[in-house]
Amino acid sequence: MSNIRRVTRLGAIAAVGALALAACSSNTATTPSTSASASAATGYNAAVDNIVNPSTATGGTLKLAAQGDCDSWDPARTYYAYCWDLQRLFTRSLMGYAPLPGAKGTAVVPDLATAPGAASAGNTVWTYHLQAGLKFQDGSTITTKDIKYGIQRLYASDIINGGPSQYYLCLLSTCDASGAPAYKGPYKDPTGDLPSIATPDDTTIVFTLNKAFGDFDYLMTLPSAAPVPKTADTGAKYTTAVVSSGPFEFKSYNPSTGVVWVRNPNWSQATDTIRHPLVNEVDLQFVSDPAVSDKQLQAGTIDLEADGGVQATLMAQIDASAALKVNSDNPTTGFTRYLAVMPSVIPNIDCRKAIFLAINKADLVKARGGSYGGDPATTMTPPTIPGYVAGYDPYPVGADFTGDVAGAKAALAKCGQPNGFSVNMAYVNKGRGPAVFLAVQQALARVGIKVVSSPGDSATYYSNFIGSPSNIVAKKLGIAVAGWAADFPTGYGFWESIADGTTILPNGNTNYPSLNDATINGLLKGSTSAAVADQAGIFQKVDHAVMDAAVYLPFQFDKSLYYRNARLTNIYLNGGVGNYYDYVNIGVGGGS
Amino acid sequence: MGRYIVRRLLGAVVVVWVVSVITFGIFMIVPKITGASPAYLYVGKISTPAQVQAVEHNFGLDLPIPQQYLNYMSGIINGRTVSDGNSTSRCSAPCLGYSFRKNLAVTDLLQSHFTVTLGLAIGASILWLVGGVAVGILSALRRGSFFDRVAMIIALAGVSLPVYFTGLLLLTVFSYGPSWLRLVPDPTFHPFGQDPLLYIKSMILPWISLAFLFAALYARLTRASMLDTMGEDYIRTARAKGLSNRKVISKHALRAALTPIVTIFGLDLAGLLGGAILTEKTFSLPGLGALAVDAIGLQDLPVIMGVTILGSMFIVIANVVVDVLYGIVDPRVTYK
Repeated sequence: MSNIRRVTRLGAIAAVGALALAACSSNTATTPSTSASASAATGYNAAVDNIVNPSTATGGTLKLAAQGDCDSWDPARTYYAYCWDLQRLFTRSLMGYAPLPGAKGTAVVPDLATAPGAASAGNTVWTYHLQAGLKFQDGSTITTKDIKYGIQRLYASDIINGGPSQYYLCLLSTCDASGAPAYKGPYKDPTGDLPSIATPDDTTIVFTLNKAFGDFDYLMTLPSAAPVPKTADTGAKYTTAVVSSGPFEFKSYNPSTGVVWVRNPNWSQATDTIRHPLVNEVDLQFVSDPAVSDKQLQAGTIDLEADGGVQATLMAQIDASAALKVNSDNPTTGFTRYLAVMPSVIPNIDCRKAIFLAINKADLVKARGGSYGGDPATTMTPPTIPGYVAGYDPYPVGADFTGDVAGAKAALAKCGQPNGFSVNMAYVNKGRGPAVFLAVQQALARVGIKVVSSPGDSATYYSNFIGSPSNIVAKKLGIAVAGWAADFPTGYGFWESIADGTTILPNGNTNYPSLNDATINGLLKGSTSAAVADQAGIFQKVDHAVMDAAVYLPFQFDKSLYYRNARLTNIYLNGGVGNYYDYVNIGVGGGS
Repeated sequence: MGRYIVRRLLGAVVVVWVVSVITFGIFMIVPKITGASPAYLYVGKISTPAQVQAVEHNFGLDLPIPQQYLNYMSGIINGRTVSDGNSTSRCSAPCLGYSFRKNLAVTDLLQSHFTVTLGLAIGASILWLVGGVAVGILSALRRGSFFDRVAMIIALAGVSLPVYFTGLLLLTVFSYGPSWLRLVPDPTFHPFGQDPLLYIKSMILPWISLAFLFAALYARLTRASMLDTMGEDYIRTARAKGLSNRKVISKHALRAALTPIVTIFGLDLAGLLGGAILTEKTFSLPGLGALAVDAIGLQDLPVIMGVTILGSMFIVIANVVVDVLYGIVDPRVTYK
């Protein structure tokens, strides 16, 4: 997932595939406050792997703040990570992530379904059954037809867009060479059907895929797969009137001031093993100045900042104060921050390797917030994704990560540019972008590589600045700053969008260097039908092949520093929701 | 006078029209030059060419730019039917289109945000007029005194300190400071209709921080104007005739001294009505200024157009009103 939407979908687990699917073999409830992880753990980073302040006390209002509105409340159109976390308040999908801290939270468990999908031998047919007693907020029964309709909406991509629909469209409908599916959606084709999704009865749904896809349970965790009643669908305006299938429903929504959710009386705890809400109300306030929301957090007038970590000032205060630090957590976010080095602009691999060796990762980490902002990365796969090998470093830049100047100069000599060369570098012209640019410029200047600034506007940076291969060539963007996290915590979820050469798009492309390697493409394709036990080995090969191509230069595994109000109970960071706090299960100790 | 007003109003219409052409041109032509269709801002980061084309068609972005402009201006006068590809709806006049990002009518957005900005502007303007003018008059009458010196030093601070600094300082002290100082513990904005008392509590700090800046300006301006006026011959004549000091000031000096204040007040108020960006952002007030900043960041073109046209309208109308008031306040002014 690219950084433009700040989406983080990642947890921390070493063998996520095997453990996840094994964990979801039973539909037992996992109550956060009574789970094995519920301990009296307190202190700094306590919520990373533990449930802090376990409690069953109910009542009160959870007060959240964010810098602005979500991209959309329509479950089919949202791609922001914290918005997916908030979707757990009011939408349910066939599958979901276990309500457990840290890596355990990436386990995929049934939500609306009675069990994980029953897959055919080749992972091309997936069958689910719905639980009994499922209702929307208006009391109407949730049926498989509602789930089918929710997915059918994704095909009306001129209206329903902005979400991760790319995973579904060509899996459930045939697509032409440009990637356009044959099925045009329920608005343009109201009498048409999507025959790949069958609903023989109200509680059975069968997906017949165009190709093998072993991670289909993960696709069914995404909000895009949430049920939508056809009679309530208002197309582009659905974001203002989402029908809840979860424990909370919208009480009020003002795109400028915030959202208030209250309890949905038609949600049944007996049908939900993931959510155990304790509060009566959740308030999300939009506070445009993050310095102000930091102040509110310190004063206790809000409980959490929903959309990210604290700012530099509060970060420094937390670092200096033990009293503040006990209420802080600094988890990985799942993002790998990297520089895309474009072979279309720098075709000689040794010239690209010179950049890899000259870079000063220590300075880049400082530019992005220091140790609280993340750790130096030596490979693309983050530690939380299958295929990660600790210590794998194909381009070592010294024990202090400041760069291998001698090695870079040797690479330059080998590529016929002993005195260096000039290269344009793309970055977002706000936030940390300029600081990252300066750090890269200074590092590469040591070996004679002159880095020229080529900033892009944040609104279009990923869609058609670096997301357009032709624009990269036209503007000679040899280096581009980017970040990526998996949409779901598997190797395929991490790699497919950034390394699959068969899905390069003319705009909105996320494979920024247009990597098109037959070996990598084959490994990715094969992974969809491979056994779970083989996944780590496959994606290790993918990771190594990608690094050998010298097009992705990882420099940081991202982290965020969060501060939580001490009154919160049952609070933990959930790996399945991108290591954000699991808002739906947090209590306030019964307070106001 | 009547012909003068009509002439000025016609001129105002021309100015607003020119602003609309320039704004529309900038935001429509620049994407054409850079090759980045505004449709990309709607479809999300991952899109196919067919998707982009469909969105462009839905929003009329595939029409020639002059045609798009004509449709837009015609919508302001006659309203128009708007389609998102799934459903059509009637957008009544003045139709300023639909926000690309929020799927709401721009007119509705402007209306809801304008009421917040209006409240901010009116509240702050009352404070700065009363406070600034009063201090300026007293400073002028007590020229060189301790009061005058202290007042002008504070006024200098007010003029020098940016409003976002003053605002954050007020929040830090009165909202998030020591408990005994937390006079406004909840600075979150509450609409007037929801709870007038909470509204006032939520607006008091924004009013003060905005008013502080303008009061400082007005205090200095009023002082200078009063000193100027008090030195005029007719004031000396009035005193020589035996009028009391109070009558000299209130009947003769103030009226002349406040004339430039009226002029500037009208322009300042009109400028604020277009959006007090820094104050609204500092206090997270959902006003026109905050709407404009967010729309610019998201390149939500219909909203940018709407805010710009509305803001320019306030300023040109204020100019006309101020010019007319000038003639009323100062009988020496005549209109041709």
